[in-house]
Amino acid sequence: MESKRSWFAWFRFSPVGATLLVVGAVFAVLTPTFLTWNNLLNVCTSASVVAIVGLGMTLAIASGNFDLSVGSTAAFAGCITMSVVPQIGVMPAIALGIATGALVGWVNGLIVTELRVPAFIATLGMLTIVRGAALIYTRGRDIYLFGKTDYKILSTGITPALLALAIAVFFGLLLKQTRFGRHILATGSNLASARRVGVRTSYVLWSVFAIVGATAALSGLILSAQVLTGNGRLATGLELSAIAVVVLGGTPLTGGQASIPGTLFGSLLLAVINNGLNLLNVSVFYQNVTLGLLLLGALTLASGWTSRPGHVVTKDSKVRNKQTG
Amino acid sequence: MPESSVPPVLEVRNLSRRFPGVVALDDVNFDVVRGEVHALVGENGAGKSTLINILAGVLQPSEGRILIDGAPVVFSDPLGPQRCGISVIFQELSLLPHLSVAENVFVTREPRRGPFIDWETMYRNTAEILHTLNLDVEPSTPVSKLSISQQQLVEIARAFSTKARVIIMDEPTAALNEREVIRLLEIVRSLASSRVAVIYVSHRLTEVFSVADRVTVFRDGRHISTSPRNGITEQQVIAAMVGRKLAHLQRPVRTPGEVILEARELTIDNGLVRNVSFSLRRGEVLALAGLMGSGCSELMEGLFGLRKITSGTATLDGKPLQANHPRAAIRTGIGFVPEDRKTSGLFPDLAVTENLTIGALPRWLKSIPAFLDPARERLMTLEYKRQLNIRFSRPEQRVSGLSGGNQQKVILARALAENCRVLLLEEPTRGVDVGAKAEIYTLIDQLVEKGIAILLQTSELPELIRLADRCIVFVAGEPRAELSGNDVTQEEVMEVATGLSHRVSFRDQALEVSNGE
Amino acid sequence: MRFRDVKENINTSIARKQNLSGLSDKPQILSMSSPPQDRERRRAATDWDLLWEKFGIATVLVLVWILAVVGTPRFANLDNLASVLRQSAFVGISAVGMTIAVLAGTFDLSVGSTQALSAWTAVLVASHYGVVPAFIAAVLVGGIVGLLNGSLVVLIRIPAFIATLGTMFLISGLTFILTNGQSARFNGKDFVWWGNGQVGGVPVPFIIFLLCALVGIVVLHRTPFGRYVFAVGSNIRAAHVAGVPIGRTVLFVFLAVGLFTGLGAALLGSRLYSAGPGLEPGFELNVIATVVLGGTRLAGGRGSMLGTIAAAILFATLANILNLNHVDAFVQRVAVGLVLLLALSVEGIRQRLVERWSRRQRPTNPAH
Repeated sequence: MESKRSWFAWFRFSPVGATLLVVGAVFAVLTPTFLTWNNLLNVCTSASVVAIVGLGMTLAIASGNFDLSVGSTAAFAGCITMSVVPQIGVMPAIALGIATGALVGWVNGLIVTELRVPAFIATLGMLTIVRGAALIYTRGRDIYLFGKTDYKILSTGITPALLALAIAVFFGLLLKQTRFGRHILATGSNLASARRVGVRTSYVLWSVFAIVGATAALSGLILSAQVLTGNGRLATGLELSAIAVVVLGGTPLTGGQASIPGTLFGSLLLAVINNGLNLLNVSVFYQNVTLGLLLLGALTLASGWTSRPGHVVTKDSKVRNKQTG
Repeated sequence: MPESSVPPVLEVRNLSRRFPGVVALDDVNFDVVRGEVHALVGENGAGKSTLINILAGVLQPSEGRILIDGAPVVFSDPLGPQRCGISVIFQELSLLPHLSVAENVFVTREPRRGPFIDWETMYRNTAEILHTLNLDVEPSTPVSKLSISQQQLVEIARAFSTKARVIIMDEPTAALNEREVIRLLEIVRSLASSRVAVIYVSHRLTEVFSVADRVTVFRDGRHISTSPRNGITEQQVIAAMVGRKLAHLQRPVRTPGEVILEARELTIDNGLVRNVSFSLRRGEVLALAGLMGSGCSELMEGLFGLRKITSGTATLDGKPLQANHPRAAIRTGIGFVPEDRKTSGLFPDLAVTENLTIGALPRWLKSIPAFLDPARERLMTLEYKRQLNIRFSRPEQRVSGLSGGNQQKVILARALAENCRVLLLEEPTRGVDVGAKAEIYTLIDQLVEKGIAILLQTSELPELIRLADRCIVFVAGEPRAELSGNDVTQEEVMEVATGLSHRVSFRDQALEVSNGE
Repeated sequence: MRFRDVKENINTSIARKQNLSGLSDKPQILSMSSPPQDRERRRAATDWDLLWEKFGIATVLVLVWILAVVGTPRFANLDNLASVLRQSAFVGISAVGMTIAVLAGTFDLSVGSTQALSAWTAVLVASHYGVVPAFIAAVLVGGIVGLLNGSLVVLIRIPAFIATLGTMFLISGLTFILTNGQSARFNGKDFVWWGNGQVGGVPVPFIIFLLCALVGIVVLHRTPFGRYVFAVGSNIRAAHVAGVPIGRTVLFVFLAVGLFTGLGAALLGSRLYSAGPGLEPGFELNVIATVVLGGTRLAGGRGSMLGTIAAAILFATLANILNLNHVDAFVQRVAVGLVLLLALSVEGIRQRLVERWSRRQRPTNPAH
């Protein structure tokens, strides 16, 4: 059902793809430095960071949930990894970092599936807890990694992009070709029906949260590798970027569907915009504003064809007007 | 032909299920054998849904046993029945809208090649099953794109693909047109011929008598009768469903006043309901009768602003009807009692008083400086408590603690508190016990006597006959006949309302599926 | 139908013992059998619930205070107690607005950024134009953000969660831009009195907090708007059928959140003599946690403003105790998150137990 061919077709016709081309062209015209290899590499790297966690978030949203704690998880994993690289070496440290993220995700899954706390509030609470844990662990100071180290490879060259692409391919395959992936979509499509027909929704949701945590951790590791520092304040706001790129990419917030290529292009778009604004010496403060505007704008456009009369959406609840059938 | 020498594939004995305040099932016995279609009929509240939920593993019985092939079993969750070969097709369907037909059919049993799904095999197997069911859709189509009738067949396809031995269908024809109904009934017979046991739950008797081998009647949670199809008539079934008690109460003679609500060629929601014209007078009860999906409740909702009137005109007291929003309808004097008070009527966490006065509060602009007067609200509530004989201990009590009948009275009081001139009643005594039912009928009589015009939609025929002066019968979205006075009898209404114009008979032919399965 | 009509009807009914809507005196009642015991039991259960909802947290608060006095002697110092009350006000005032939002079945994640922007506005305006304009400006800013949120949710129908998440970043970015990353400072005596002063030993912000809570209670229980808030939170579909103006109600709810937040922000700016971007990270969580801990259910329709007051004081108390014991500031933030999750988990566990109980009326043997 899925082939490389359809990926390209999608890109050509999708709004994100088109916007990406337009915006890229605009910046290319406005600044000469935009199209340099060095700069494009930067764009790729920052896009990859968001893409990785965004891909995890895509799974979460497809399953009908959100995870607001990804920023804190990223920071936490970064700190942990930074602090143990000297002791156990680069690769084991990376593995440990990702495992930490998966553990945080696992706890999220526990709170949501077993304790029945709504996902957004549960992860909102975990956001603070994990951020606090990171700050406590580092005692508010930065953890430096001195000397030449292999760890830097995480953030140099095309490694981040390769990682992002690998994960994209993996998740794409997962969602389209494996039973587990289809069950993720089933759970997001209609939780009650899925349960009734025998889908193990608790297991699915739990696993999805763990996966999100792991991707968040990986993003955090790349971020910390960029500056070779473990910082408890890293990646604040990553959760919003992650959600934004998923929305921009066309994955509906209601669950049951996912667009992996959409998330990738959404990440690129975001990275291009931020990069372009940087190059134009626009204050970095504007980036938050742009992000907020992008997210709300994309949602406004998306909701244009789903709103019905007498239909107010509060939290994640919807009023269902009695329709046909 | 049904087999009779082996124990029934599914049986319940002495099954009871109690909830706080009500006994939903009272010591019922029921069984079904392989190869038969056993119809279960009963009014709303008879206990059919409770039995289905117990057999689906969603509810636990309070007492009694479930037996599969003669051996007792306990279902602790929905997977239990599935493992025993029982498949339940709920009225609201258990489909995953974003997934394809094939995936819905094979969910949790998707054929695999290694870690990946074997799409080819899945599509092929699905296509075969769809072919035998005469469903002409691509297996890769997302289920959300199918019509209700097609979606239903997908559910049947899933049940069939699990080699279910018992398939339970809950009101399967509610949303189907005549052609689709016949197709469904054919498939049901074919399933039976393939040695599947089918429990067909419905109150549409013409269909039941077209398809069933045995007919069981439930009433008020009790098993009333079980007979072979040829051993009982429709009239006898109706009598058993309803019980003789209420059928004798006479409708008072009424003298309607001038016309207050007039409708001409109304169409609701672009054709869901079409060509409706009627006049409603003060002091009369006009009933809308028809099976679910025939347009009655859709029309009521259109008049109240919950659905769109897409063409035609309606006037209230000479002025054009304001039906774009419930707020406007209430303001112009139309009251509405919805059929499902739990989802659309009550505010469960709020007090009786608050539920009652919600429609009579000051309008928005005037309400900015206005304050509520709890003392007056309390008095108002107590006054209605007296007049409608609503039972509750304190007006501050949470309305969720009241019984069904009293809750219904609260909603009725709410409409009265809004000073309505026209009252739209949807299933006014659903989920209400016998005594409160009678009280509500008397209340309706009194309201009518005082000049309120009532539009009544009910699926309980005795209730319709007890209350209605006139009756419009709907079939498939259009008014088919108008009956008045003495013509409003059960037989007349049933004859015009049933989805099938005549009984259908089937050649019993088993479903054939090739060996690829 | 006009309110006056209702009043008149009830008046005449009281005065003349006449019947409403022309119903005759006594409907003929047939005998009605009802099982009173089950209903009694149900009623008793919900009464307990109501009591806990209204006074549970206050009880916990009293207990915690007693423990604190015993465990940490410095706690009982009058100045310290005043400080606790003062601290509770800044989160508390915003929580009053948030309580209304949660009762309506929604919530607002942008209160933190709104607070920063409003506080900065207050300090800036105070330094140029005086106290009253400063407070007005802050409340105005909060109200505008509230209207923005409301419009997104009601008119454009974006889920409240995402909409307020978006505005949170939008406003925080806006704050950075406007302030150029700098805090505004002002320590004019008239201005800072509001955040730091006392009246009869009670800190001014706390008095204002109580006043706001009072306004909240009056609005919720004595105005039609308040009634609509409860209705929308309790059952939005039934609210639509009953003619409740849902759109307007939700819009005003978000407006209320913004207005209260603006007021609290002005007081905060006054207290700190300064305000700027990044004023209080995690504020929105504190506010939501306060509301939830105070007994207001996230699903809406039920809750207690008194509980919010108690919860606000409780959080401030916990922070104070941790401070007095020289516990890390970071740990405090973790503690808030933990307490929130704990409070919510209790609700979730309760739900599961109820579910498990209602599905089984008796212990069953496991299926084969």
